[in-house]
Amino acid sequence: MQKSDEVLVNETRRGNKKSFELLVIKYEKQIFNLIYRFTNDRETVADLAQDTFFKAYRGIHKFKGKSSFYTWLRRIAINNSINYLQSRKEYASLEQDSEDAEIRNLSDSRYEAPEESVLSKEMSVIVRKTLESLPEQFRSILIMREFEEMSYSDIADSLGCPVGTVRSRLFHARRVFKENLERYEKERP
Amino acid sequence: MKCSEFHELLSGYIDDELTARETKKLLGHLEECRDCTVALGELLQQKEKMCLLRTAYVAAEPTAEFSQRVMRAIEQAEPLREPGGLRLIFLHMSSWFGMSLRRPALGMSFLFVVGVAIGLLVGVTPLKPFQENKLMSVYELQSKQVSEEVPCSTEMDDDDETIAFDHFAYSSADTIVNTPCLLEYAAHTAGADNY
Repeated sequence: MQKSDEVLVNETRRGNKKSFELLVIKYEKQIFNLIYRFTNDRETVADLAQDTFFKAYRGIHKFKGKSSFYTWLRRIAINNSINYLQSRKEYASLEQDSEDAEIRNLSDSRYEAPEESVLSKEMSVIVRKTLESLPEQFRSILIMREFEEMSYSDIADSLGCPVGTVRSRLFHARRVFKENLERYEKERP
Repeated sequence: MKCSEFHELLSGYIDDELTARETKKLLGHLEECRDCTVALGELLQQKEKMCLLRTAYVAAEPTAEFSQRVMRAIEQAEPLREPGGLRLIFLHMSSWFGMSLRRPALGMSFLFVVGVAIGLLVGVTPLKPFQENKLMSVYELQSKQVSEEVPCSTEMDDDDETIAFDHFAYSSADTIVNTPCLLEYAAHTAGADNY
C-alpha cells in the first residue's frame, strides 16, 4: 500500500532518507514542469529542481502540515524560479528566444499535445510567445493560475501579498496578455 | 459602478473567486451591459487558449537518476539535525520576530507578554521575600495606627480608607483572616450588611 505524504514526511523527519526519496520520485515531474514554465530554460530545470528538493529536505522540520506537502514544495519551487529569473536580470523583460526555437520545441514528439488538432501549432507558438512577452510578475501569476490551477489564496501565500492584489494583478495580466496576443496575431504572415 | 470596475470582477468570476455578493452584483450588471458580456466571452476564450497550451508547455521528463542525484546532494551536505533546546527556542523567537515585522500589533503584543513574563520572573524570585517583608512591616506599622485610630470601624475618612485598602490589597490570605478589621472593610466595600 502506498504511504501517504504525511507518513513519508514524518519518517523523513525521523531521519529516514528513503522516505524522502519516495517524495522526490512522486513529485519530480510536476516540479520539473512548474520550473520550466517559469524559467522557459530546459538547461537549468534539473538544477533548480534539485535545489528545490534539497531545500525541502533541509527545511522539513519547518513544514507544519497546514497545507499539503506538494503545496509547500511548490512554494519553494516558485521562489527558486523567481529568484533565478531575478538573478538572470530578466525580470520584467522580454524573452529573446526565436520563434524557430518555439516551433522546434513544440514539434518535438515528446511534447506533442493531444489538443493540437484544436489549437494549431502556429496558434500555440503565438500564445506562448505572448505569455513570454509579459512582464515577469504578470507571467508568473498567469502560470500559477492557469497552469498550476492555484487558488487566489495560495498565490497570495506564495507571493506574500494580499488576495486583493492577486485579483487585481491577474486582471491586469490578462488585459496585457489580450493586447499582446492581438498584436502578435496581426503580425502573423 | 463603472464598466471598468466590473472588468476586474469578470477576471475573478472566470476563476470562480468572487464572493456570492460580488457574483450577484456582476450577473445583475451583465444582464444590462452588452460590452461587459462581450468582455466576459473574450476572457473565457483567452483562458481556454491558455489551458490548451498547458499540455504543450512541459519540460523534459526527469531522468531515472534524478532522485538519486538529489539524495547524493543531501548525503554530501551536513546531516539533518532536529532542532531542540535553545535552537528550538531561537527558531520560535526568530519566527515571531519575522511575524512582528509583518504584523506590528502582534509583535507589540508578543513583546508585551515577554516583558510581563520577564517582569514577573525578576519581580517574583529575588525580590518577593524582600517585598513581602517590607509590605508586612508597613502593614504592622499602619494596622497599629488603624486599630488605634479607627478600631475596626466602617466609619473611616478618606485617608484611613486608603491605608486600610492598601493593607488589604497587599496582605496575604493569613493576614486577612487574622485581621478582622480588614475583613470588615472588605465586607463594607462589597456592600455586605450582615458581616
